[in-house]
Amino acid sequence: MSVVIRQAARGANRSGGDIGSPAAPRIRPGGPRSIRILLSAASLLFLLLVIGLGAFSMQRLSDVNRVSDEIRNQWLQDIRLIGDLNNYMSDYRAGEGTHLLSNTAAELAAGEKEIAALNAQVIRAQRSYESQPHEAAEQRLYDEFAREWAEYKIIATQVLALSHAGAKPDAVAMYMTASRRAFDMASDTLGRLTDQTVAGADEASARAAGAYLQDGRLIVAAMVVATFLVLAIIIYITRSVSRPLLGLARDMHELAAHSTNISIRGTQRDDEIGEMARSVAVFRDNAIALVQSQHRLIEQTAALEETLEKERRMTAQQRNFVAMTSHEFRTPLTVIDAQAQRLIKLKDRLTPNDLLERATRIRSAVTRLTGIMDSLLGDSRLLDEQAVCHPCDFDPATLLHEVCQLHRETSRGADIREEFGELPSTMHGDPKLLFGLFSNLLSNAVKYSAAGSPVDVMARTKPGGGLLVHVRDHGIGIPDRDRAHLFERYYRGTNAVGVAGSGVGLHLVAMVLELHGGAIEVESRAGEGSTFIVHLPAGDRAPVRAD
Amino acid sequence: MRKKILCIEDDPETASLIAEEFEERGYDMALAHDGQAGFSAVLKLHPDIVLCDVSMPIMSGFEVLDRLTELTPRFASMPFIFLTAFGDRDNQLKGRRLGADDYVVKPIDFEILDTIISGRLAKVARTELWSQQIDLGDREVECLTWAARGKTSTEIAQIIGTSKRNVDFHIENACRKLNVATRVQAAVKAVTGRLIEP
Repeated sequence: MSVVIRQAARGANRSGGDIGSPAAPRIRPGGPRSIRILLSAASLLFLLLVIGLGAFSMQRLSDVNRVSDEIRNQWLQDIRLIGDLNNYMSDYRAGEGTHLLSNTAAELAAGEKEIAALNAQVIRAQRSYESQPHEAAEQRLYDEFAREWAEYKIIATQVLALSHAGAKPDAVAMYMTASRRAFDMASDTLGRLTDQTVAGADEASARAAGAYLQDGRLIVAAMVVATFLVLAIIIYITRSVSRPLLGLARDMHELAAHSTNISIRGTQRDDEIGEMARSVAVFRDNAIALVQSQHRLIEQTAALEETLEKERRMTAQQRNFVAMTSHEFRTPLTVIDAQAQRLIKLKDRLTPNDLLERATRIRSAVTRLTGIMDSLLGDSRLLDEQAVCHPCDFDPATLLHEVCQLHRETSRGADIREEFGELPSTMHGDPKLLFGLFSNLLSNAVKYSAAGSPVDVMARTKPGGGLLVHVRDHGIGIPDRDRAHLFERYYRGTNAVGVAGSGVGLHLVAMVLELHGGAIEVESRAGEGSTFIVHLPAGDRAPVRAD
Repeated sequence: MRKKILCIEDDPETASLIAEEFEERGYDMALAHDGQAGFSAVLKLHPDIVLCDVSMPIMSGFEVLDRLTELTPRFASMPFIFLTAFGDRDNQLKGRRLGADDYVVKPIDFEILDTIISGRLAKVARTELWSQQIDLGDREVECLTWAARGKTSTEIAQIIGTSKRNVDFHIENACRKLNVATRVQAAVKAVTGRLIEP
């Protein structure tokens, strides 16, 4: 648990810089890099791409159109006009020949009239051709043709004049020679012009096809470029908008599942996603704080309960102590009071001996009372003040024997058995405190056993120096549940009800042993008896003060 | 007839002072110095009343009373009084809840203790007066006791060594003296009136 908290706390610290108090001023919806702007820009870019692609295609198409127009308007027109011109020219030459064959005046007149009309048509066709724009090569050929046609027309006019005048043979001779030569020249030139024009038209046609092909390629290229641009935009939007949003959604899910150990990406971003990420981070920090405060609350509750339990135990101990103290005082007081009542009742028939005996008993009860007071006060002093050890050399065997003797005297019928092995002749320690220690153990052994049940006091030297003393009884024993509290102040065994005691003795035993650097063990079974094992070091250490 | 008081008290001096005082007040005194000995003394001596300390070696006063309660209905009419130096509320409550008839805290005022004892015994005295008036014969008591223990007339005849006819005769006599119609009624009345111990 604590590990999790630590990690969570670290996470909070790490993100603290991102989303602490500076978070609020960083809110800039619609800032330069906001998603709204980004999406609008992307849409605009799409629109521009479509328009650009369309415009480009249109432009290329108009190019193709222009080339075909050129073919249609210029070259085809030229070919038609040249064809007309050729026809009219042939007709004119034919008209010239017809005139030569005409004999009557009417025929001549009709022939001349027809020639004039044909001449007008030739001129009209020439004008039409001249009104068109032409390439330099065509223009040059046409100019040559026009000059040659004009020469032919002069000769033809002479032929016609001769024919009209009736000089048919001269006219025919001229028609067959000079006129014919001039006409053939003009006709040749026109033929060359026709070829030239057809070649130009072919060339233009090929150019148009080429332009169409090239424009088609360009349009396809533009489409490819536009496709790449669109893909790039989609990828960019996926990377910069869609994925971070999904990531945040995942983080939110994890938070919802109470996993607070997550790092939130994108909190440095300026846009709406950054804003969302910072909000999620705040949310996460709140979740962490909540978890922490829950833990704190649980800890506090536990601490409170512990304190309460301690208080309760303390109160119980105090009450126990008061009850025991009161009991200890009341027992000799009962004797004193009973004796006093007896004295009052026997006042008239008391013998001096009787009086002496009763007074002695009262006094001994008082002695017992003061002894209890001293013992209680002494215990309290020992407990409340800092107990001081006054170490000196002593003989452990003598000390143990004296303790046993005391208890044989005070507890009538107590069967205290001494089993001493080889003991050190002198030890170093506070004999008064140690006397109290063993006295307490013996008193317990006697108190919690049946009258006459043996109590063994076994002592021997510990291997490596020091004293090992067993005090064993066959009394009521110590229940398992009391074992842990045995040496607590005012604690009394749950089966010790009905046996006088203040709950201080074993606490003092533990304190005295602590002062001497010793230790105590307990082996006990409820109903079978207890053995207290005291380990006392040789005592060469410096006198110790209790804390 | 002098009443017998059993005093269970681990402090010998206190015990002997109580004995001295109450012998003078006209009681027979028996002493026991720990719980175990006290419990045995109850069984052996059938005292009329028990004064018992709480804090004692081997077996506490509470345990003694507990063991006696287990034997109910025997000693059901024997008053049991705690006499203890534990004056605190917890112990007093515990003692009374265990069924002690009284709980007297030391030091003892003999006058007051005597009132308590005679008060407790007085209730017993009335029933004893009644039992004297009923005046059941020994054989009648014997037959009624076995009847109360669930034996048939034939069985009782075997147990006490007489004939079934005689048993029936004694029980009928007892019914008449107790003024009841059946032997079941007779047994109940005799037990409640402490004429017999089932």
